[in-house]
Amino acid sequence: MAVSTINAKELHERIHSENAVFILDVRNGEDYKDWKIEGRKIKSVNIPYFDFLDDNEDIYAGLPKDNEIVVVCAKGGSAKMVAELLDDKGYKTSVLNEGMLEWSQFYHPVIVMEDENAKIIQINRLAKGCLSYMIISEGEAMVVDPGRHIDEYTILAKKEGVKITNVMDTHLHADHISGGPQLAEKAGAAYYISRSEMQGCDIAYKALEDYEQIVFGSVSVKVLAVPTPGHTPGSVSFLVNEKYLLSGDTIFVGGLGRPDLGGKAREWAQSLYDTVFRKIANLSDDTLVLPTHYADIKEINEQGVVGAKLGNIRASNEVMRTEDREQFTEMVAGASGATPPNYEEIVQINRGIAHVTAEEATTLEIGPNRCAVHHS
Amino acid sequence: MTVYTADKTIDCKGLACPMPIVRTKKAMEELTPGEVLEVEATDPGSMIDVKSWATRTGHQFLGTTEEENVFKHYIRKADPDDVKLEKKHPHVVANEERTNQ
Repeated sequence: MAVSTINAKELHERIHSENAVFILDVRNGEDYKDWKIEGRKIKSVNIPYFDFLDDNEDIYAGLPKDNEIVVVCAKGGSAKMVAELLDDKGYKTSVLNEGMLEWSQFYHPVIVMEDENAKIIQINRLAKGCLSYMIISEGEAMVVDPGRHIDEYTILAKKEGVKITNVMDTHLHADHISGGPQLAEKAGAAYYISRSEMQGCDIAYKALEDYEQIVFGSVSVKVLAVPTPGHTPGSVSFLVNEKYLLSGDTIFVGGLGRPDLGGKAREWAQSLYDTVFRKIANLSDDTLVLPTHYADIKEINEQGVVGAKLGNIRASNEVMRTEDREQFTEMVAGASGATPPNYEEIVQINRGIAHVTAEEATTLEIGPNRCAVHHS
Repeated sequence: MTVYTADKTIDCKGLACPMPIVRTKKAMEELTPGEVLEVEATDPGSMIDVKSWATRTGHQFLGTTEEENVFKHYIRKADPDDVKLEKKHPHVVANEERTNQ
């Protein structure tokens, strides 16, 4: 037998096939605890690669002899070593080629809606729980909250036969490096972000404060910028065709955005309150909320989309019904948990103040997303 | 300037995972208990891995220094006799039973 190599796309396909996937993650326990490949049909086991260096037969006890084992590590090297050891012992193994490094850069597009005038595609960066969007109409495309691997969007646009004309960031991201300015430049598109997010930096942008709506495509696909402070002071949401709310980091399927990353949790919690009970309050329960992040694979619906009707989110989130301002502030400002790794540096990069190489960017971004408020 | 005095140094610069640990393990086998191994590595992943490995194998992880993108990890070899395992005695008598005898 030989050890086969699979890439992130193939692994993703297997995770979504009928059969369960057995993943042996050979990173150290701390990294595994921090973030791992998740899926409904995944059985995941963590045995650090260095445990395989000793001839300790006990560690093989939990490994299946009849099913294939997908071995994963940080960058691929250790997984190959372990997979070969297992192969010698008669196990059927394959290796995720570049490990979590590759997984962290894997994007998966899913169609949210499509009619004769418009199409919305959600692009899911699974390892990070980051979502971005491509809205298409009449040969034009708007990209919202693109990740820094901008080829994902140019390739998708090419496949759809459209030209990217507008690139937007709902807010200044703290957990991942934005591909917005680079994508806009490459595509010859306009880049929009709030002025209040970008003070003192030299990235060229159109200030969202100056636009009540942005119309693109010859058929009117209306994109309405609803200023929703709350998450960061200049955070916005986009209401597409009065029906789809691209909520950025403000409202998630599982809760609200965290207001504490600017160090003024209570002040920002106030604006989040205004967002929920003033700006968003008027939107119908039928509005489909499409956020920029998700925290749990349970938030991915049957269609493969992370999104939920506003009415359902209101119904299942106590904090969304907490109209008492004081109580709301307590719940939101008090429940934020660990901050995203390296968020201060990432913010500086997204403001165009700090610059990093692709390799440094990868290291900074590695790990799970921590932008949502967990109310558990 | 290093804070630890090493008895042996191994060069793992430029090596990617798993090689730094594979070499560390091999080098440790050649040391005598109490001696300190210095591992020079450039892979940032080596930091947490060396620590995890040392902890799991019972060696004493002393710390890491970083200078010009080179990490130096220090591990003191444990004496196998130092490891205090709970000794199981096949024949034990409880106190109450003893006084009754």
